Amino acid sequence: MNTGRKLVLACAAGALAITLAGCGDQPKVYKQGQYQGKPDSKPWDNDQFKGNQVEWEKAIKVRNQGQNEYSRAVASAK
Amino acid sequence: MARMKFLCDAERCIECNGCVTACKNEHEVPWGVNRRRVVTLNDGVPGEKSISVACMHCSDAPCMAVCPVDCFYKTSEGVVLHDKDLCIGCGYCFYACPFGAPQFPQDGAFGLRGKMDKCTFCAGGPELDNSAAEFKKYGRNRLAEGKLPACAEMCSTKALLGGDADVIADIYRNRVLKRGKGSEIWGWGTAYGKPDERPATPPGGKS
Repeated sequence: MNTGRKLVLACAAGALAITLAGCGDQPKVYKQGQYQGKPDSKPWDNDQFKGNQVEWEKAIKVRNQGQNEYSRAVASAK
Repeated sequence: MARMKFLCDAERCIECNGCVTACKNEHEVPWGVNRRRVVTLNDGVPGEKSISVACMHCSDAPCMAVCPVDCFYKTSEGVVLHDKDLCIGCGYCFYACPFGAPQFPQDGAFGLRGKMDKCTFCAGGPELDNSAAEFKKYGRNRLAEGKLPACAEMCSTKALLGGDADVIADIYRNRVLKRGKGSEIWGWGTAYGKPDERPATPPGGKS
């Protein structure tokens, strides 16, 4: 088999492989009105809170009260 | 479970733009994108009021309803977020939003619109929490660090409150009672709903 023929065969095999690869793409089923993206994790599912929701809520509560200058002023006056 | 909301006290806002700067700095937001901005109502007229506006993370978010690719989702804390990998930059959400929150960075030549960017309530997006990918696409995830949005926490006069709805509403209520005025909250009814003023059945019982 000469080199030219081998080259043609290799190209044909490559083209066939690319064509067949397209057949493997599964069609996505679209669900109307539903989030289609990646799932998100909970804010407490990380290295800092290690899945402890109560700890996270406690931290948020402290931060929430940090915005209340009336309670901050009373606390600092004591 | 916390239900996260923003509340801007127009009686206190001094238009310092500290919230805008805090947001820009925290998330390294690019030029041309303003996740938060300060708007002055009746500018130049005596008694003008300023308010800080961003995505309000509405209870019934219109952006979620109009998105053709359904890239929006709401977290269990009530924060409206989106997946930038899905966004096609169509701009429908911008037209639907009553607060003008969705922003579109210029992407490429000829003013092509990029993927939508908006306030995330400092909660990042659907990438691994506090990862480089999340920071690049959505900015810092302060909520996952047990912190509240930078804009609200940085506000010098505490005009902008952000956090658990019950707590911030209580702080505001206490404030209004003490000062005796300024109970109106701009945008609260639009974002979080208001009681239906119409009677359930029309007077007379006939429609």
